[in-house]
Amino acid sequence: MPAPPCTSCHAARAALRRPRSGQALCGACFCTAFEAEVLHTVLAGRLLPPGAVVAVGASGGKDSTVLAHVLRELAPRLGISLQLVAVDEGIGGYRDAALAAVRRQAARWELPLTVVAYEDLFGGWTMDAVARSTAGSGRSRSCCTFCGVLRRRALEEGARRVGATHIVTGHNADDMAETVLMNFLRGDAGRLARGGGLGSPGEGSALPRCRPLQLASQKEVVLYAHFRRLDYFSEECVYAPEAFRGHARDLLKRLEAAGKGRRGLDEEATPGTPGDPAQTPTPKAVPTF
Amino acid sequence: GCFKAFYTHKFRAMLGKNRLIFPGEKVLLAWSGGPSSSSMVWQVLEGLSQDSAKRLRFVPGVIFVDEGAACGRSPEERAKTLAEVKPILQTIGFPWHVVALEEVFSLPPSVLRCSSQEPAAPEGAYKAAVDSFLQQQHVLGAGGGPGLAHGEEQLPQPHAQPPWDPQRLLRPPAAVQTEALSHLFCSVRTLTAKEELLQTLRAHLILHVARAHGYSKVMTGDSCTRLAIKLMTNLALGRGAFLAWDTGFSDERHGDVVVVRPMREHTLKEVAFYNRLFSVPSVFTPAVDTKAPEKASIHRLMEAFILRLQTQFPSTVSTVYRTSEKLVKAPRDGPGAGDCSPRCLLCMCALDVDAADSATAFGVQTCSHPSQIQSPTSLTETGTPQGSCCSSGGGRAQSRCQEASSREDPQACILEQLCYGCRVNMKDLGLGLGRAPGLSD
Repeated sequence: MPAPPCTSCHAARAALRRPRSGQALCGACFCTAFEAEVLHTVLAGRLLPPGAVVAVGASGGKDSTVLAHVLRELAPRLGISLQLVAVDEGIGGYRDAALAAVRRQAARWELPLTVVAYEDLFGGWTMDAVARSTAGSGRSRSCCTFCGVLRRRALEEGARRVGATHIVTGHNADDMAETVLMNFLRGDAGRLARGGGLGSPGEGSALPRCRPLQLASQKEVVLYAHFRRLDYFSEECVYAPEAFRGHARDLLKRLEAAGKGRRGLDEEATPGTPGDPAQTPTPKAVPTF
Repeated sequence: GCFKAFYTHKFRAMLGKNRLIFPGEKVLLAWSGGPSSSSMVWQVLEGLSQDSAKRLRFVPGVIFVDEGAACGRSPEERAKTLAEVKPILQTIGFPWHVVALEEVFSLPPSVLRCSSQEPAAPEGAYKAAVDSFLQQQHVLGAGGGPGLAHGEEQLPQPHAQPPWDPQRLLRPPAAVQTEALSHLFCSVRTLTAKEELLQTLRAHLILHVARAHGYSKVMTGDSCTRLAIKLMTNLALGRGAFLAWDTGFSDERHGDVVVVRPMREHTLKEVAFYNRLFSVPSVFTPAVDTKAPEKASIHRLMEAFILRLQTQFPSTVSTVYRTSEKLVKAPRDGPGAGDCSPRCLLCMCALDVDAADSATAFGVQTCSHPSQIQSPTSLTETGTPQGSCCSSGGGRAQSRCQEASSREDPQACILEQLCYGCRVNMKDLGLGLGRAPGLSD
């Protein structure tokens, strides 16, 4: 059965159906729609004001690659400048290959790249060393938890070094949903309270950060990278199988299979938890929940 | 011995800690026949019969809802279950109500309206109420014969009980109603939506019976395990905004009748052991998802997931439960918005969908038409409601109808008055919204 015509340009044949609306689009129209939606997210949430120096957390993976590409396209319209910041956690056999991909991207897009290594920042600790030291202690399943915290710190440091005013990361809707589920399963009320909305205005002296791809589903990110022929690194981290997030991811995949489109937005429906009393009401730029 | 004391203590402590049930209050126990609610009823029975100062002090009634029509059971099967249920109810001895789910068709539309909330009693009110109750008892006891046996009989009845007619309540429902209910449930496309619909209808029915007979509280037997699963399930259903009401100790969304969950700290394992050791009677009734495979519904899936994770991380259920305890019932727009904010037509929670949310995922999902993304301002325009469909909403949420009223589409108009979770469920109802009980007005 031949594919129906694209419902947007009515000229080319449709190449895909969008996961949420089921709308049939050709590759070019889909990419245009995707970029328009990211632009809308940034504008409506007032996430990146004109003149911002934006540090993009680049891991070489599909999400940060798509993020960097889209922001580079939108940069003139938004009036922002971009810096790539990559974090080297010191995971042998994984991170070195990913960094090579980031370097290629930086060269192709002509964007400045800064690499921050755990080894330099955290007194010689690499993730491999952390994993070794927790291996026998019964906490071996939690080395990913350490990595998450350390990486955000490293990203902050890298952003500061290049004089950035905002940090962006490539988290997509699936990541956000997994995070909410994971925090409930681990009972992390603190993170639940902080996690709603499109980012953080920056607590204390931290830089404001946001996730422009937050509303895009993972499928769409992959499709965009495919249609734009983006070069990214697609292997999984060596330690990923042990991460608790794997359970949340598994649950999400099952829910998608059983619910057919229901799972879309549980990340938006986070309840009010008694946050830290010092937490000020978030500014209008970040929709409160 | 020790286990029994621990189990009973947990039950009492849950009630005592929350101080919501006042002495002499009429409390309706929602009994499904299952182990947790049976255990709860038994705890109440034992608690009331103790002759000590620690005796429970409220006036209980029991309700059993026959959901056979929704589960596709034959009249003979239903009669058989009722025959098992009746002797247990008689043993328990509280005033009982056996209601068929078909009665939702005769519910007045008022059941969908939130009655004005009673102002929360000030801090000292509970203690004062208990003290005055004890004084009353003491006075009565002194006037009558020796000991507390008399005090028990002279328990003050705050409301005159309506003349009791159990036979009237056991009359089977009209066949046409059974047919209609069965048809309604068969037309639901997914098991998930079926389960949610059943819960909604059951809740409304119990609420109505409670109101009709003067009960100000309803107790449900949700255990710790079930509530942890319910929390995660509701998250996946898009009801994250209402977790505190759906899984907390007290749920006061209906205003005049408050639902409480005294079994929320008991795990299913404890309930099973207790019921076995102390021969608590229960009746097995098949539900809509009995024997359904894991992928059949979100409820089933979540249950399997949590129980499986529990084997690897034994603290899962209690962790999720503790997280649910920390959830705060924060009204979205600050204090004072609670009472008069628009409510979901089906689940009665304050609506969590807002036109101004265009930048968030809600906005993306609720305005599924792509062109609306380019013009976010059109969502914030408020219009006056047109047509009678909006005015039946009882004066709430008029501004939400501006898109729908221009299309004169009653279905869209109803959708606008539902919370996010209920909207998603509605889409799975095949018959169209008009046929759902209570919504045809």
